[in-house]
Amino acid sequence: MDIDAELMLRFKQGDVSSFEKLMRKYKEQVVNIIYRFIGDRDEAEDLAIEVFLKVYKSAKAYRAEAKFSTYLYRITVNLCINELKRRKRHKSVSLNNPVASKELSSPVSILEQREREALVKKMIDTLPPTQRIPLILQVYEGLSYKEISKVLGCSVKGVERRLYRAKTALRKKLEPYLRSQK
Amino acid sequence: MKCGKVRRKLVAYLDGELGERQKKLIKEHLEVCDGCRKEAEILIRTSCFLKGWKGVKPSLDLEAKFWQKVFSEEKRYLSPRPILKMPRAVFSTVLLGVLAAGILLGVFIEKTLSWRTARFWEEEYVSSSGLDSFQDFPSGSLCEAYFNLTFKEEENSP
Repeated sequence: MDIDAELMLRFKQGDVSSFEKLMRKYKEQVVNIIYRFIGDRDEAEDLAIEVFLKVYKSAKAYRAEAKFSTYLYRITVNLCINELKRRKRHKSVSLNNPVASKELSSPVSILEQREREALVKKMIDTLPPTQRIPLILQVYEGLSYKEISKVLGCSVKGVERRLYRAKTALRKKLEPYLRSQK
Repeated sequence: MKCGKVRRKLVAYLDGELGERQKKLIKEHLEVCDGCRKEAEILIRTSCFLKGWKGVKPSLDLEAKFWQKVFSEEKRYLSPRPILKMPRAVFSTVLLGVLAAGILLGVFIEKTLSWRTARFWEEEYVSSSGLDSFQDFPSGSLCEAYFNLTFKEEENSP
């Protein structure tokens, strides 16, 4: 059993500090998955709180059948999809731009980074959610195809197909930009 | 391996998701095919470009906000039900008392209503038949004849 699942089981028995450890470990990943999916930092944080609240409330029903991270990512992905559906219903558009990395110091590099991030975000936003989610999980969270298939509840072949479509579509869209960067 | 099949497997190959046999076949193909090798290079550059999208650091107060939400939800769920905080014995006694009072009240209401209904129908009958009471019978009726006979028998008896 993985160490995080053990922590979750300890939390299930009443040890709140175990939950705190899990939250500290995964908060950045969860916030970033949501941020990359919906593109708004503040909303990403609010939704991340919802994710952890769901985990907190459903602790009594938790069974360590899979890795804890798979369980957590599944909740995160479901929440992202629900948020996307809600946005489609209400047609809300985020006005926030991607946040520039704070590690960059010079104004030029900040601008370049911001420009690049805006472009990547724009390109990823053009993908359908069925391709966007596995792409985010694979490229940014480093999940294997097998792990992604568990999170999404589909086959490994299905993940392979979705990632092939997503990456070839992005490759076509980014090709002019990549050529100009040579 | 043909170019079409190699290109379909190229993304999985670059992600390190293929088995040893397929990996070897694609590697051999890329060594001899310029077109597929260029495609692979573009895909690698695309992946590098995508990875350039740095994530965000969560706010420092994220955990505090989470616990605040937990406490406010717990408070909301617990506060409107003070009755649940009663000891079980007290709660069951109160419940039994309420049930008994309810039954007694029901019986009382039922009795009052049935007595009033009986009275009402009696009065309805009397008023509709034109009688002031059961002792006044219409003249020439069978009831009057029977009543008179009985009354006379009682008077004549010693």
